Amino acid sequence: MTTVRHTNRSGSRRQRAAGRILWAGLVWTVGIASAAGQDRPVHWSHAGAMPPGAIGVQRLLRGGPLSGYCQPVDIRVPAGARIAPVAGGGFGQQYQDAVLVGLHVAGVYRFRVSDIPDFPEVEVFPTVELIDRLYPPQGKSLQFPVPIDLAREELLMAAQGRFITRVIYVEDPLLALPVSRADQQEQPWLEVGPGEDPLVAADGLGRPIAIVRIGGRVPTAGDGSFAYGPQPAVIYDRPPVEAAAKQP
Amino acid sequence: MKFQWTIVTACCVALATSAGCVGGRVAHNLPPSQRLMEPGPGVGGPGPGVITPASANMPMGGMGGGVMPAQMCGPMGGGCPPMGGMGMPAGSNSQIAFLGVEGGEVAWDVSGGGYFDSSPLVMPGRQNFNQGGIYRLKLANLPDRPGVELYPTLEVAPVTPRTDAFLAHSPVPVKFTDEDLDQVLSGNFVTKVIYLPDPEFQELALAGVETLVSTRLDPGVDPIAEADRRGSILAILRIGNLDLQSPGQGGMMGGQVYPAQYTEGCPDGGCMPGGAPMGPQGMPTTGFNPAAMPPHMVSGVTGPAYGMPHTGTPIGLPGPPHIPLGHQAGLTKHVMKNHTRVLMPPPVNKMKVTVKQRPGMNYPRPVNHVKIDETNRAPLRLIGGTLPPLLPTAVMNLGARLTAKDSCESCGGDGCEMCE
Repeated sequence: MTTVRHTNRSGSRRQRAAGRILWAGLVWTVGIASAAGQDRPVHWSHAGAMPPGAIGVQRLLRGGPLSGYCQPVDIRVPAGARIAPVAGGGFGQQYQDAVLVGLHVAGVYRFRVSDIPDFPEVEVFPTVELIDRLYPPQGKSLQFPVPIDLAREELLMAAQGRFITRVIYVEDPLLALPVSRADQQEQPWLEVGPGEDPLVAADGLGRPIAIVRIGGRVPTAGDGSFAYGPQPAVIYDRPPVEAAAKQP
Repeated sequence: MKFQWTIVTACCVALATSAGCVGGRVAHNLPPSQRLMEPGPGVGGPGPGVITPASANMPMGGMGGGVMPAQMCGPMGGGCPPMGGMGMPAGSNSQIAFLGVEGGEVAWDVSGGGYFDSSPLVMPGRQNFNQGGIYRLKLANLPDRPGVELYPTLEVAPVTPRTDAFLAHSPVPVKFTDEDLDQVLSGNFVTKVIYLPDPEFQELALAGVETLVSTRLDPGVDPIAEADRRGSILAILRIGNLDLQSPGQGGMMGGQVYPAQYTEGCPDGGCMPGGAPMGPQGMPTTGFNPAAMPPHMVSGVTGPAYGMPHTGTPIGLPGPPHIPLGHQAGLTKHVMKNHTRVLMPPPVNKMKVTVKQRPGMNYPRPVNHVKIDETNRAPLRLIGGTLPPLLPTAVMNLGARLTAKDSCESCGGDGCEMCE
């Protein structure tokens, strides 16, 4: 007697397996889609905490009309205070309220700010690192300097031990407010939140031009490298106000 | 039932995957700062064949004369002198600000170990210390604590790319508080670690140093390890109540025997009496190892030449500062195995850079057809034109010619040059 065994395969089980696979694929696709929608971590090539001069040197290596260009920079201090750039082995002539200097890209320039109102004994030695330049009309670069405001509060905080990094940037034309400002009006500023990199924040708002670092370190005898080398910051005479006003 | 468990498991996996990607910023475990200063993984430098930084090619100290390079600067006719010192280091020393006990005096070794013969620095005060050294200090004349003299050590950490900007602009505050002094005088050993917190550990956007004190941490917590986890260590202060200048005290002052020590910290003779300007004297933190290179060190320019060990060994590794004399070197094999698990991404084979400017550029199409129709005569108008009318003019010309032919005086009507 022969026993006939039928194979235990039915269409309903195959359909059930296919359904499982479809379910798993659907759920997996939903998970992957949500993961792909997240922002990927970004490694920034430049950070605000990099050594002074490093960003500018890397910027020079990228090429462009930067090497050798002398960018006028208008550094303004609180009314009544004095500022002096490095000259020779020390600090040169003091200028009251503001000084118009020419700086090179990738150079680190040390300044001395003294005679701060109500704090005559406080001296702060900020540095300015230029990492990019402006492109003013031909022959009018002195009328369009990079403005840098050293606020009184910042100078006092630095004297008390805080380390302040300020990034000067050119506004993105699409984000800039269409509001005219006077030449000597204080620069609008934006304070980044804790944990944020000021250079990254400035890069999102425009084109970073300069990095200002303010701390409370003071030079001592024999500290020859305090001034980052005797860079000669070119002192410019301010263009006459009348001539500047006539410019279109 | 099995089917439902499969679905539930798949949903959980998907949720965990998506939730893991949402949770905050991704922290990256960067290599040590010393390795970050190298040109690339596995590449020491700067050595032969490595492009030197632009700062090394710049003229140094261009304040004086020098050839004025042709350059595109000089608004209003002014010129820019050559730039010098670009990227120069701000110094391999850290400025320490001693705070806390106003009126107290701090002294350190200048001419020899254990002398504490520097000019006393009255707190609050500042002093520059070379980085990568351990300095023995003397704390004396403390107000409200007559007769108390403490001998803490101050370890100044080497500069890193993370701390370079801060150290070049700000002093490192070392504060002796009353609580610290009370702990020390009661027999406790206090370790204070001053560190620059990483951005994620900063309470404010302003960079400010923070201090970890061993007496305020939970038992078993290493303040140095904790500070290293939170940021970059700037200095370590260790205070005990050991009296180094008591009568009969051995060690640094009492004995005449000085151990052979590595004197890399003062290679220029600055530590010797009567030498060049002398600064605080301390022991290097690196022991026999080469000192840590500051970020701005350029091989052969501001630092020792690359690839030149202090003394050679048969296998090319840097040897100790002194090879024992009397017999030849016996080391013939030196095996080092690195079991570190390294996940190094491979280099990319193809690079694609997509650039898109917004708004785009919209220029007119170039000209490909020029049609010039130039008219140099006055237009013909029937009335009021500048040209005489055609038919009357022709009649007048014919009449004039006939009249002239009949009355030619020179040829009598035979035809001459005038009448034709």
